[in-house]
Amino acid sequence: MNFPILSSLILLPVIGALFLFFTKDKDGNNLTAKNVSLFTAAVNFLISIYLWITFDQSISSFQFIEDREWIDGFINYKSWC
Amino acid sequence: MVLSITKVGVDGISILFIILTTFITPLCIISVNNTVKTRLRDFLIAILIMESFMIGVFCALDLVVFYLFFEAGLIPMFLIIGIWGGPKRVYSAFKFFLYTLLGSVLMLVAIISIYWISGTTDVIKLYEFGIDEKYQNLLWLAFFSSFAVKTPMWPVHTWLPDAHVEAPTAGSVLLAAILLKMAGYGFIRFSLGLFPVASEVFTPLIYGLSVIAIVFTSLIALMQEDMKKLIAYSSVAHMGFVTLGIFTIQQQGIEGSIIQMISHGLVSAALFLCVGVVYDRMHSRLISSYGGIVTIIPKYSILFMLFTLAALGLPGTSGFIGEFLILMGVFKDNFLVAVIASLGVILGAAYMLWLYKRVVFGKLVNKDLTKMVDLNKSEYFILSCLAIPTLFFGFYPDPLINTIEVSVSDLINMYNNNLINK
Amino acid sequence: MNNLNLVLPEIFISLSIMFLLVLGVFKKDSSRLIFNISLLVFFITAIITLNETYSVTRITLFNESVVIDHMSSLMKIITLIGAFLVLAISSSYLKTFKIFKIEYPILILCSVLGMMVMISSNDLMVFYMGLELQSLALYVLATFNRDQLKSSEAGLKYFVLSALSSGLLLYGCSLIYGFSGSTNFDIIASQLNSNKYVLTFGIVFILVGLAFKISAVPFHMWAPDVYEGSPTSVTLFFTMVPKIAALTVFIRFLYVPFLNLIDQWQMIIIFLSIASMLFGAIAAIGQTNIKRLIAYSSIGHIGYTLAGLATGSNEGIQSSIIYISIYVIMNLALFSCLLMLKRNNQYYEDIDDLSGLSKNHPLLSLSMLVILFSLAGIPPLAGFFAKFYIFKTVIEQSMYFLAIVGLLSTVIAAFYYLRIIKIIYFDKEKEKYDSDHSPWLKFSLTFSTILILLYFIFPSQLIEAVSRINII
Repeated sequence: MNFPILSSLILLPVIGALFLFFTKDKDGNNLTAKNVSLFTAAVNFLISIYLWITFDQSISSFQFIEDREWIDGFINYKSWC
Repeated sequence: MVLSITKVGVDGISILFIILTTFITPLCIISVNNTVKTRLRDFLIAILIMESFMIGVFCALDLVVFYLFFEAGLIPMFLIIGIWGGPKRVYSAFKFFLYTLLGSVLMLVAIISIYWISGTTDVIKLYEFGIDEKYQNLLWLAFFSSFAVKTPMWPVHTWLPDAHVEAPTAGSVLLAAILLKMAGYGFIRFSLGLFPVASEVFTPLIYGLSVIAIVFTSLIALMQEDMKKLIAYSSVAHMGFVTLGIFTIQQQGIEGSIIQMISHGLVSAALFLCVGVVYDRMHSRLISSYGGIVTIIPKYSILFMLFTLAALGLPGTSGFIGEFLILMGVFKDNFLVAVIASLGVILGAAYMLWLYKRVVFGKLVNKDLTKMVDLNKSEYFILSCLAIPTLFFGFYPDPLINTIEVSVSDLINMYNNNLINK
Repeated sequence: MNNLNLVLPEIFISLSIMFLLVLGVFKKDSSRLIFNISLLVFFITAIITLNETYSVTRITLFNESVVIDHMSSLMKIITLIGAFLVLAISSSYLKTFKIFKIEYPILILCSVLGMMVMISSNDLMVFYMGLELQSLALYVLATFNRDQLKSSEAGLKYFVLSALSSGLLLYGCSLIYGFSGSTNFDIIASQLNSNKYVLTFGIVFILVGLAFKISAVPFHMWAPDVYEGSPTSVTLFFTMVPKIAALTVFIRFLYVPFLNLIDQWQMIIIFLSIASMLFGAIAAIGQTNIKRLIAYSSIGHIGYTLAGLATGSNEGIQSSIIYISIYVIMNLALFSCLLMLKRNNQYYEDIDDLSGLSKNHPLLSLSMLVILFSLAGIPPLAGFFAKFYIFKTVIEQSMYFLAIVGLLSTVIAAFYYLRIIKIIYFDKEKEKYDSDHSPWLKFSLTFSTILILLYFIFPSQLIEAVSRINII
């Protein structure tokens, strides 16, 4: 299964923050902002629960690994399943 | 190809922390209903970005990526404390930032040195090949300087009480529940995993500092007048247990410290939220302003009681499992340290119960307290969300232990193999 | 066989300077026109440089006194684009202070021409020629705001001190010529075996002169006063562009003729670096004027750049070049923010004027946040990576003391950057500033801030461009 689940876990709050950035900032009770952020955080939580469920508890090696070349020759990526 | 973050992955240990992070963050967001009045949108942006960095720390499998996320988390926390905090927020924000930054720059030198020595910063490869013995001591100390400040260990813990007192409630929750755990995680993943020889050498140092932290800060906590400061010092004491457990380098010790970290994450988050509840109503964190509120806000008192008992490690709460396993591990290793640590448990009970008695029980002296409203829906929701896992894992810790068991035993095996081969 | 195509950029600029001078004198009210044509000239020259010289490995011209290689073309392009953006964003500032004259863009063109000659120099005489052309233009630019006392003082100070340092530099050149028999870098390199250690005298004098130009400690005294007194657009030019050229000359001067004397000059460079890093960190703490603070902070940044040079390896040179490129972007962004602090036809330069900026100008404050954290070197912003590469090369050469001092000064410097952020975000707000700015200003701010923020996504692009530079 190749979907970069960990990256989505990391990036989803950032995308949510970006969405938030474009909403207006009202003083007092800012429902839009709260709803957007709560939705993002809740979705993130559900993804992590899914991660926990599909996690194989019997093997000790790292799972859901993602690899990509980032800084040439320094941080190297290898592909994994 | 979808953009993916370089070199991330989880094993049994990291996944629990990720779940903790994603669990606490929505609760934080709900809690800002009442506490943050101005610039709410910016506050929520800061929290979301922090969540992203925190998850990144726990699943980074490359030293540079780890360092990146580790340090990047300073920025949103600095802003959260400094913009939305209490009266002395600027001082605390600066102290937090500069203290932690100073601790971490040595870690950067160490990471670059590791690249130079071993040719890679990939954690999996470094686990396989190990690091040359003669460099391990210095590298361990460099990593230690960073993790010790963040844990926080005695004597570099002084930033924590200030940061907690001045931070807004949601900020304190994130700080206590997750930021502190990054350091504990770092100790397990890197200090034990990469530098086994050095860890053996420095175990007495860690034992000594942990024990001093446990006893000393518990005594300080006894003397506190400010509720948040008391809980902050209790955090230092709990993290003292955690570092103690990690460096027993036994199955129970490490499992205990991980469970203790998860439990402390839940419990201290709840405690800070409890303080936030009364602070929202009475605008005072001083213990002396309270007393006898059990009749006025009974629902709150029950939940507060639960978390107090969890903090002191009552059997039936998750706090017990962690402490018990840690003490089991320590007893096997060093009897004297274990005895002193157990003394810390007693002190923990002392200050927590005394706090509860002074705030909730006792005579109702302050007449303004009668006007307090009990928990509203969102506060009730948050505290019960935190109470349920605390109780559940107190009675049935199997899901947690099953997740971490294999990874921890593998880590210990790798550690022992590296020790034998060197 | 001289391939004049390769010096086409310089030829083009010289011809345009002459053309613009004539045009400006004979056409009335032509400041706007000259300004726009100068922008165009920079742009075209950058394209010419890209086309003609970028793919060249190493060619020497004019009796080996001018060298065109990858480093020279890269630095020239950075210089030209930097000068282009500097000129583009200065227009409203110049108009406010009534110094929007035809001489301004022409002087900048002259200075850039001098820098381009410096960057390509392979000979002491050519280098000195370029240096003097650049400096003379800068002297006049510093005092361009004739009606302000501070500006005249700044220009005079700069002139006197710079002339002194140029004199020392020339003396060093003559010593080297005396002991090696030639002013050409390659020939000096080959003559090195006979008179090795005597050349150290000459090297020291030249390093003094160069350190002055790049404002390294202890030859930095002119920088805070000159930066503060000059018009802000000229300060912007000062902090960005001459340093690129001076760094290139540093690299070429130390590594081409005197690589074998590395044990002589390495300690000097390390000393310059440590002193600059520490001084830049500590001295800025008490400042109240933003331009002075920027002067001290750029002294600190030059310290880091020199640390990369001290390593004596190709990677060190590359990391220094990456550092200075990222530094140029950060400075451009910072000054774009500074030039936006305008209210009622007056520009504000004190740190206290930034108080509470986040309330009235959220986007501007967010950009300042990104820029200041990047200057402090906090991940994941570009400034962190710049420092990271430098420390990587320094540690690879086992210069641990340098690395630790560098990191400690990072932490010390973080204090004053944090203080500015604190003032912007945590303090009470002041009156609103003007919101209408020239499109160039907005563009440069957005562009540079986004580069800083998103650098971590594609860090290898810059590395690839720089990694073809192999001097040793």
